[in-house]
Amino acid sequence: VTSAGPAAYGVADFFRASAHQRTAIEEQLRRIDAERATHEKNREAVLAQATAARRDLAQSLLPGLVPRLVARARDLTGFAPWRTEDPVAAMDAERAAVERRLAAIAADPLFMNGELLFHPRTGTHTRELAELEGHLATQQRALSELMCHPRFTHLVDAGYGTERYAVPFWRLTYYDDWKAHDEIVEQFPGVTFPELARRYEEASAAEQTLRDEVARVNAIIARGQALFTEHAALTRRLGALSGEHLTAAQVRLLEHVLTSHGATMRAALGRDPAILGLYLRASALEAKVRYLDHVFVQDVGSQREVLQRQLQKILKDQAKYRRAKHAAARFPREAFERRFGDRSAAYERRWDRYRKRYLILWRWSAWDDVPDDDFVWWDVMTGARPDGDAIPEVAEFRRRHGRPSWIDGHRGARTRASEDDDDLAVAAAIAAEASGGSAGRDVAFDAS
Amino acid sequence: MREATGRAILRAIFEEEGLSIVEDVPVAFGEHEVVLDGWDAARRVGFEVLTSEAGDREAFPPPVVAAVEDAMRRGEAWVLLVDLDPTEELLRSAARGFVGQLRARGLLA
Repeated sequence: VTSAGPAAYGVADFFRASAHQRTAIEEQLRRIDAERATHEKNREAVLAQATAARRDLAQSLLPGLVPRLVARARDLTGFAPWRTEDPVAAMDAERAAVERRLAAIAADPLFMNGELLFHPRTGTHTRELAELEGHLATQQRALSELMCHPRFTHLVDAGYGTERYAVPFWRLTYYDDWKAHDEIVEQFPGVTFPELARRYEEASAAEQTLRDEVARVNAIIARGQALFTEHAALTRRLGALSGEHLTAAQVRLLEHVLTSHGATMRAALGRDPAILGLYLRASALEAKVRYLDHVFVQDVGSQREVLQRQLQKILKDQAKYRRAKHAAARFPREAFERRFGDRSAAYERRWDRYRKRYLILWRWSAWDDVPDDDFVWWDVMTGARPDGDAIPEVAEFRRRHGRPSWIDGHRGARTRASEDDDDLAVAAAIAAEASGGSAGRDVAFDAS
Repeated sequence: MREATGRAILRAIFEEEGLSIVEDVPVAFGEHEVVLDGWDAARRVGFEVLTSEAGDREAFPPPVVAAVEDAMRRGEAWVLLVDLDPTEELLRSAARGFVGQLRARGLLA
């Protein structure tokens, strides 16, 4: 489509132009997806550096959990909770509690004589349980034999053959019971039903006694096993206790150091230049991850949705104009050219801007070259690029402090600012395009 | 088992045993009057199949069954109450057993 085109375009023009634009958008989407993969990889790398930096800082701030080192870390960082809390005492208290419980378990006869009582083959309770289970199985077999007729227990419960039996002879049930009785005693020649009922009741009582015994021995074995399990867990806890208390204390300390006001913390840690260096590195790397995410989302990630919307509209319109009734549709020249104008230059400008911003952050590693004044890492890393205002922490800092006065004298910032001259022009062009141009947004478009 | 089948079996066996059975006979038991499935008025011996199919559960609610059983305990009448769904074999054996019980107890010649 050129500026010297006809007054209106036809459906064939539409298909040619929309196919061209579709190809361009799909290419952009592929680039975005590829860039997302690259960013994720970069992000992982910086995150790994940040984690290592945090670990180094934590180890330097608090190399061990002893009173002298806790006091040093507290005084250096101003960590107020440790003025009243004592992490060493908390660790010692837990250790003492674990040791007391371990001693109590060790003195428990079930634990003390564990091998004798619970050995899988020779343990007293193990053998007792096996014996009881054998007797129980015998009783259950005897009961099963007696209960071979489905109405046996009913007759026993009804007191059949005894004075308790109360079914009168005029009820059919009387004869049903009689029939069942005959069938049962036929299976036990020479034995009366009351005798069978007596055997059944004795076997039931014996079975219940054995069940109770099995439950009792099982409970003892379970208690013994619980003691062994608890003892093993407490022994592991005792071994890991010092390390875990130290890690927990370091995490709390790091949280305090890395979320406190930067200038205040830098001033405090300035008393130990080695620790200050580690702090700057950890703080900067965490900021670097945030900024890389921001730049990716703002310049690339957000464009995916816009392009997808444009692509969907193209597909929908192509379906529409394939129908015969739209074969003669005409498209006003101005709207047509606005929609299908070549956007490749705008796309490239956006990619250029992204690459520059991203690379400035990605390459930056001079965490030991920071101004004495208060600062936000964006300004240090980018030479105070104005477009950092879109990041809440940068905007908030600038609202309070204005443009940093140190920027003109800062070596790294000066260098980056000079690199950015043409970049700022690109940013301005993109801003102008976003407010009035056609690229990057949907265009109202209808055939006449 | 269908109620009609049960009634036919019972009537046949009762008559084999020398009873003169008439079907659907109204009989008074205390203040309750019930229609029995089979009844020998002279010997005051009969039978009743208590099935839901014929609506007997409604006609023989527990108070009525109790009245009939009270009459039997007083020796005023003898009615075989078929209170469950039997096989034909059980029903035949019960009918013969019932008449046998009456004879054994001297309640029927």
